[in-house]
Amino acid sequence: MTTVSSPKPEPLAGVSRLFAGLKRSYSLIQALGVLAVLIVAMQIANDRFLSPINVGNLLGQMTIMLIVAAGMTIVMIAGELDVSVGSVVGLSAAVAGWIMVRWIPAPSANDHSWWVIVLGLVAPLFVGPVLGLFVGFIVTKARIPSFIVTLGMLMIARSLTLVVTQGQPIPDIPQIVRSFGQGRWVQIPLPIAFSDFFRTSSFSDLLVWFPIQNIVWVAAIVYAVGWFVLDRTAFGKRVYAVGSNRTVAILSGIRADRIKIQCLMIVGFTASLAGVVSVSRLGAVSPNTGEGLEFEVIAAVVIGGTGLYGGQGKILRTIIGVIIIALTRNFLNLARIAIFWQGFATGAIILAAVLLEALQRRISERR
Amino acid sequence: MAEEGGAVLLQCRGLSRSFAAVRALRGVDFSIAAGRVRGLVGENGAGKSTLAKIIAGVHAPDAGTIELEGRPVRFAGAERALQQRIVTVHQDINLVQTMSVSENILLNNEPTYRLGIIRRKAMRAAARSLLEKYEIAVDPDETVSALANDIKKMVQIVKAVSLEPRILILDEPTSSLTDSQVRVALRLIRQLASQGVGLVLISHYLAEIFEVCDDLTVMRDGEVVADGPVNETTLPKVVTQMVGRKVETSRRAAHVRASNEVSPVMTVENLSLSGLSQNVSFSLRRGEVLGVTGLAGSGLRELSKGLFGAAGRETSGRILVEGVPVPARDPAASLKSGIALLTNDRLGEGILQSFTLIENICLPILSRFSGARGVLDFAEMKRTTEKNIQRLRVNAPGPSALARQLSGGNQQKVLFAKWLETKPKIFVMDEPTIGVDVGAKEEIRRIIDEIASAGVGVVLVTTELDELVLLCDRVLVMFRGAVIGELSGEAVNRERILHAAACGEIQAAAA
Repeated sequence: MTTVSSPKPEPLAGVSRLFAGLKRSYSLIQALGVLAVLIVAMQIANDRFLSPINVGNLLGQMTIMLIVAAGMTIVMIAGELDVSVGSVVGLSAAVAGWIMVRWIPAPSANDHSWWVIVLGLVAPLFVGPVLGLFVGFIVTKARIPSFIVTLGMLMIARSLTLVVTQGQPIPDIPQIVRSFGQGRWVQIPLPIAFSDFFRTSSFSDLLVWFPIQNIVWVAAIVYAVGWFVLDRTAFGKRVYAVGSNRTVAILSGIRADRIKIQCLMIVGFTASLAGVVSVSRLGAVSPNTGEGLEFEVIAAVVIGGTGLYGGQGKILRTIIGVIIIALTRNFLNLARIAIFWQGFATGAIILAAVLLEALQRRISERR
Repeated sequence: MAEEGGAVLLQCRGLSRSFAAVRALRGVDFSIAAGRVRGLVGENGAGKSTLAKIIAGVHAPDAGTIELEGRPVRFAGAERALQQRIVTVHQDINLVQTMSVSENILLNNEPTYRLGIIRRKAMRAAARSLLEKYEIAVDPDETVSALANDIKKMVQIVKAVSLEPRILILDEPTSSLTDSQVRVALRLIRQLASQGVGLVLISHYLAEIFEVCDDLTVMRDGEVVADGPVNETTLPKVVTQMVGRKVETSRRAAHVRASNEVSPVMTVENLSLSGLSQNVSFSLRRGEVLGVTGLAGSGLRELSKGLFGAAGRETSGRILVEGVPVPARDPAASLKSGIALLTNDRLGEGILQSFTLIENICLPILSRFSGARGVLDFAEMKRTTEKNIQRLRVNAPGPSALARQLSGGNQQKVLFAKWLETKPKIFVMDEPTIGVDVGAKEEIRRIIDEIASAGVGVVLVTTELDELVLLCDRVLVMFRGAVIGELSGEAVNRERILHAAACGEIQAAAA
């Protein structure tokens, strides 16, 4: 009758459990494997790749994408998509810059009142959630796909960015903000000194005490919180359930629309946070901050294994996706390959990742 | 058999067919005559559709012969049967909603110039002449999605007729239609018969069968139990032939066990929703099992969803739980009021396949496991799941197993656990034993009995007569969107229920 076999006492239970565990994390191992191969290949092709300077640049460039990708993962697990994030990053950055620099002109970049700075850092963080709330209402009440609604928002927010910045860069961000965004206050040991290692074969020579950018810690906090919320709270479970099967969720007493709105507000918040971080990192606001970011972010999330149809995905694996995309771009820069080819390479990687995932799904379904 | 109509077109002898261990057909003889309508009736699983599919070439028989106009034939696939102009009209309306009527009728059969360019005028003319011939008042240029259900059904039949069938098999052509629409469909069927087509009408609606058919074949458990002209049999006789001689006293109704409390646990007042043609009112006592039954499409699905506030915007009326009104159209509020709903679509609306048993069972009650800072207490969730796995004897590798690793019957038990953990006062279950094997069926029925005995009011929506007879104290019968009456006590037996569901009227006290 029932098809599940009863558990038999097995002498190799421990081994089979280990195998089961490996099988479950197979895709994670595979993603890490791809990443490792990529890093080794890039290092072999160009020995400047793992130099401290380049790793530092890489981490800095990655941070913005990392922060936004965390929110994007959550919204995609809930079965929605937000293509407006690039513009929301830009608008939030513009609002931050406008408040800190243009609103009450200061005599110099070191001479702002503290409350203007605080307001300039905090107020932009509401931009994304407010837009997310608006988008969420349209998506859930009018039942329009979030892709279309956020496509509209992509254009609206970009236009507002141009309005706020007047199409001009906003330089001269207060020194204290810049010193955080460009500072490296904490050091950790990283295994990146390959040339020393190959010379001496001593593992202690492999590690370099590496000063990590402050903004990277911001991203780390975002992922810690994101992981906790998704994995350890009732809200997280509801997000997965809503994305997996909206009807089941509703019939289980979950207010699915509310969850979706909340997720769209969360991705808005991460976009705004990324905007503020970019202001502090660059020390200036450009009217095209964040342009095109949305598709890189979505690609990173998909490469990290989060499906486009909701209900599955792991936020920590998104980090791997972001690293893969950032690495590729960085490598092409280092190798002095014309910028024209960069989109081609990124696109090819996305297609390969998605194809691989589809292939695996088909194989596992057949089994 | 075809003493008055035309010659015998198709003659089957000794058809048998098994699916895995199930013998769906056992030595069936069946014939179709030109110009006559043959009704084919039987309970679900009696073998009607298997027989129809063999005639249409979809399945090959394991044994037996088919003769078409005296010559033995073997169809390798449905196309071969189509070439012999044996055409089936399926129960679902499978038209392309975005195309026009004429495009649909001549789909894949379009008159073309060379290079495959469609002759639009010729196509429209062909469609128009067909529609006029069968007196269907519809513009061939109209988009199908804009048509009413009955017209869609007519277009579907005309599309089949455009293939000039010798034999036309109609599978439940009237189940999606309203009463007046049924008349139009039956007229069309008679018209086709008068042109010499041999027709097979598969239907649960016995009154219609008696109205339109010349001959009648009754099937039960894969065998033909009666075969002959319609005017030589009667409706009660056919009902008896369909249900056979099975034990048929309601065990529950026999010893009245529902408490004699006066105040009901649930009262439904004038519930109205799309899919119901009349308002529904009833009340339910603690510990009572109230059956709701009817033919497919009679409004059972809609009613079960409506009781849980999940039937859409047009819902109105009141539902009270222990005298307190439940906020309308809000599943979350229904759940909070103590109502649980097990839907009949386990895969689409019930189980989350890629989620663990813990997650499936604890989904509606997550807040119970949230600590002060919103952290879920996984250990407690696991304990709850384990407790339920034991209590309902779910055969599973463990609480952390994925739902998809379980068989259908065990998945269903997991859903029972999920809803029982919400501590419902009223448990609405829609086809609780659908798609599970015989053993699991027995166990689930035992669970339902236990739930009621524990004082929960159970609304059991089902089309399985055995289930109603075995479990229910009372049975509401639905017909074309309306509750037509209630059976209780001795009247809860297979014949009375089937008669009411198929004919749309409650018989007077047993003759």
